[in-house]
Amino acid sequence: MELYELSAKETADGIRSKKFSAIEVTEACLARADKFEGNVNAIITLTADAALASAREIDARIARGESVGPLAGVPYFAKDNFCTKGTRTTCSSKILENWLPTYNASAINYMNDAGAVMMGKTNLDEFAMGSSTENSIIGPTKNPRDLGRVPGGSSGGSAASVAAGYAPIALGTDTGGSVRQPACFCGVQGMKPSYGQVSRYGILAYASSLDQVSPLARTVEDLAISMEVLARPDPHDTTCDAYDRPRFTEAIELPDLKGKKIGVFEGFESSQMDAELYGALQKTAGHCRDAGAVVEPMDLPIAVKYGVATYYVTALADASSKLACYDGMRYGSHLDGQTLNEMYVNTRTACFGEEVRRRIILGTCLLTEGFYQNYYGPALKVRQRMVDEFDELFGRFDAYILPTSPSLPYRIGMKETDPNRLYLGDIFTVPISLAGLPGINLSMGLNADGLPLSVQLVGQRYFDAELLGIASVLERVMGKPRVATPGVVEKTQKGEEAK
Amino acid sequence: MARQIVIGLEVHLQLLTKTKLFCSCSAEYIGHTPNSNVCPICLAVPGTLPLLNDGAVALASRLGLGLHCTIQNYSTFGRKNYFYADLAKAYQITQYELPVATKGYLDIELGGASKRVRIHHLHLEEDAGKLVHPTADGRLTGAAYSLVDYNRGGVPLSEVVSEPDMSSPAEAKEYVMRLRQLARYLDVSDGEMESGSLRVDANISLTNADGTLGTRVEIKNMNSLKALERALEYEISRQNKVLDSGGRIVQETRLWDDAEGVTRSMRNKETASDYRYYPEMDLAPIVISDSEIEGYRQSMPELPQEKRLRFAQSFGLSGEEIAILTEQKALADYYEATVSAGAPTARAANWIRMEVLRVLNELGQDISEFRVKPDALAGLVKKIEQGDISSTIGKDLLDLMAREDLTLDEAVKRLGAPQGRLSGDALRELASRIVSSQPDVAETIKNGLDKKGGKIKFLQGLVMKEARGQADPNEVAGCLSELLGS
Amino acid sequence: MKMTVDRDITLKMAKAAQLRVEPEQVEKMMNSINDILDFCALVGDLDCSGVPDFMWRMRKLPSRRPDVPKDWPDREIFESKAPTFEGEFFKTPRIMAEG
Repeated sequence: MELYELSAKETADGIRSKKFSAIEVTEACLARADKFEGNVNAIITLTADAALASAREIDARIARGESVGPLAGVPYFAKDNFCTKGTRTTCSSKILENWLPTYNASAINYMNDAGAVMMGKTNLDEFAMGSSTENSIIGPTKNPRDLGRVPGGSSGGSAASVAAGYAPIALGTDTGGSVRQPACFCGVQGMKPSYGQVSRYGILAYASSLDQVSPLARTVEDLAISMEVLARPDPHDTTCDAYDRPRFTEAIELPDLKGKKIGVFEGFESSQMDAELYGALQKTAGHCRDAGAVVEPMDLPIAVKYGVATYYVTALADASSKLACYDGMRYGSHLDGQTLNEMYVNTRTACFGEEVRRRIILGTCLLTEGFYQNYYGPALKVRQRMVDEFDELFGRFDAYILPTSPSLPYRIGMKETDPNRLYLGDIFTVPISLAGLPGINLSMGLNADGLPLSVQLVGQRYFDAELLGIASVLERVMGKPRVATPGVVEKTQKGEEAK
Repeated sequence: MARQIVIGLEVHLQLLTKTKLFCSCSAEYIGHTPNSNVCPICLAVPGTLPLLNDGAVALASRLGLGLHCTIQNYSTFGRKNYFYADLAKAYQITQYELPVATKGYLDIELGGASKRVRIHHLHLEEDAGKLVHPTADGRLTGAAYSLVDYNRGGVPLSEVVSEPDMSSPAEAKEYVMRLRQLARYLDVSDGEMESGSLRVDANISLTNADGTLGTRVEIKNMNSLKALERALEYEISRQNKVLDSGGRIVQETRLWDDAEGVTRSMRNKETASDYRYYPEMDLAPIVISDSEIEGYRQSMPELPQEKRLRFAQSFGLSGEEIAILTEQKALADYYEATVSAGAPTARAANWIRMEVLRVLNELGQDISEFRVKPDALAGLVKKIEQGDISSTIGKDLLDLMAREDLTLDEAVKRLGAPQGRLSGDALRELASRIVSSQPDVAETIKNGLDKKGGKIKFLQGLVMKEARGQADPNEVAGCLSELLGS
Repeated sequence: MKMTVDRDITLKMAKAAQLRVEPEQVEKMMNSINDILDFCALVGDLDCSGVPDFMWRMRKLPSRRPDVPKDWPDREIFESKAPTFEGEFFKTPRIMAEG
């Protein structure tokens, strides 16, 4: 096995036990990125020198016999909406093209403190607004499993870098599916924690009440280690819960699903989604049963019917407010104007991309007197009803299985024009975000065309550890995703189709 | 038929916290280098999140308790969205749906009658930065560019919103004075209208002929109590004129122009009619437990109204005396300490009111800086009460003690004041000296031209002054008649 | 209740958001807003009488920040990169009453 194929756990263990060095791992990953980045285009800013320096530092500390963190020497990438001190943070937007933050996001500090080696910043849809990572200042990222297809989004660069073996772990942010869906499209594991698990300090906001720092990896165990590093109270974020987190790495020792009740989502017409993904869902239900769980069908009528509309109203309104600070005065790009308003308008019109401008105007509209009463106000109440709907179900179930996406990764440039169909893409992820629940995209291998199949596991809010436990039991059956070789579409051999 | 005046006030008080409402920057901004008390949070740097100041919650709760409000166990913040150069985030974090304190009252007194003004609620919000317009008059009009100082941006404000319970400009002024006094008693705000740490917006309407509420007009930009009173008076007469001539009052915001003495309609364009309020999800709600509220309650000092009542009962002082002594908490404390140190209540009150305040005024000092401590003043007042020294000497002694930081004994020595009273030969000698120093006056009296007795009184005054009051006025008069044969 | 925007409202919203929409783009923007307004009007269909507004609940609320001042050591670095910082102030072009 090559170094770049190792999981974070294997990497850290190998480095700690001096089987190989941090510098060797970092070099292997950098070489991997160097080899494929021309095709994949997942990285906005590569910080190779800083990465090598951190790796050397880790090796030196190990040589001195000092204790090192759980991710010592493990390379990782962060989506380019995490603030990184002294390293350009663009959010894929012209408005922050040359912005150098003076501080690190808490998540970045936690990763670095755990010994992880920051490799660079990955591509995203501008301000995380999109689900294909096509809408970016550096152009689209391509899916490492099929370069003709999108990697999903908005954390497409992070998902692609983990799938292509640039690093065993990457950080993304998930607002309405922005980590789970690209994890699904790129065939890796991705977890959106419960709202309030991980500090949002230093994340360039899309929607305050939805954004959540979310790790991507190739194993559930790596997700658990990442969660142990990331999920903690933070004095910089009052929406980050102050309770003591459980040991996520202990939770994944769960031997089977005996005594667990798992709901299989059946509240949609199978014609509305890809047949293979529907099959994957049924297959997972079977695995759950085999592992000793009681499996029953369940439905989420409110979440499915109202989720996407509620999500759009909530997220767009918040985005219009959070993106108002980009006025050309204190940071970021600036265009002159004869008057204050001209300066605002010139800067914002020229430096926000079309989709971002469209969403800001929409969000402004949704909060305006009259529209508020008919859209934002009702959405706040519908959202509470969705929370109540989930709460009621959790009286009966420990977890649910749902699809992550209703479709397989689509071709690049195939812009969806019918809004109703476009929104459908988020139908299974946004209700989970609105209710603040933990959700894991669990890979199930590839179909005959080499495209990833997966399923979404959803748990009760704050039961992230329990959910990781269930995911790890299923992963033992379904297998861990392998590193993709971009440019080579992996045709599944007979007898090796999705488990 | 006279229309009734209906006034409600929104008073913004800057809270005396050390740091801003949502970040750890110093909340001081007056006299500081522009943009020196700023940080990523108050400059709205992407990725930062507001962190609520515990001190601001405590002060707002104290003020709420002082206003007999219910402190809410659960309150939330919202965002008021608008673009302006002094508002870094392009939204102000404020409370609009569930404020920190609700439903209270403040009693005011006017012409001996007491009136209760109901408080609708009190909420927390952040202040905006300051704009400097480099025109000759500092006004926006004509400025080619403007400068922004974010030092004030994020300083905590507590907005106290009254019910429309006031029915005259005088009541409005009295309300603001009582609110300011309360805020100062509680160390919640220094309440200076001139420097902007207390800002008043007034809502005023006149009732219709049938007694129903008329259209409300909001007035802003009043920078003193006087301006508040004038602006309201102007607005009443303006509205009356409009209504008398059959016109209608437009619901609008008007700015007070102090120089011209008029209110002016803000052009509609300047009024952001829609602030796009919605809930702030970057901040956890404010949760205040009952035990926290109890803690705030326990730490409350005696309120001005309670103090006035107690002063009347315990010290038997007049209404006017009490009003002056209790205006500032520190002065009231000073009075009580003086009485505790043995000074008779009435004379101590009189001395503080007349003499201590005079000296403070002359020295430009605050009572906290006053060098004559209550026990020293008590010593002085007791001597006067016992007749050991005259009031005149007492005043000189107080001046010396305050200006030169002397004890009573040191001041007595310095003054060289005669310990005993002047009388007999000593007094006659002094009177004779005074008479010879004023030959013209003496001549006038001797010639019987002092018909009204003014001249002889003048000489008596000079003798008494020279004797530092330590002489019997009758004996002085006797001596002078003897000398001048009048 | 479903709402729509016309050209005027579209331009008013753009203005409130400090964004310019070129005349030839107004129609497209308007249609796009109306598409979303049309779709999202769904949120008004669910009976929510008696339901409180959504707000996050937490397991354990973080304690409030103590009222202790702190300095910001990176102020000068920040200022050196701030687009409108000059001397001691951020400088804005002429502030006009919006017309």
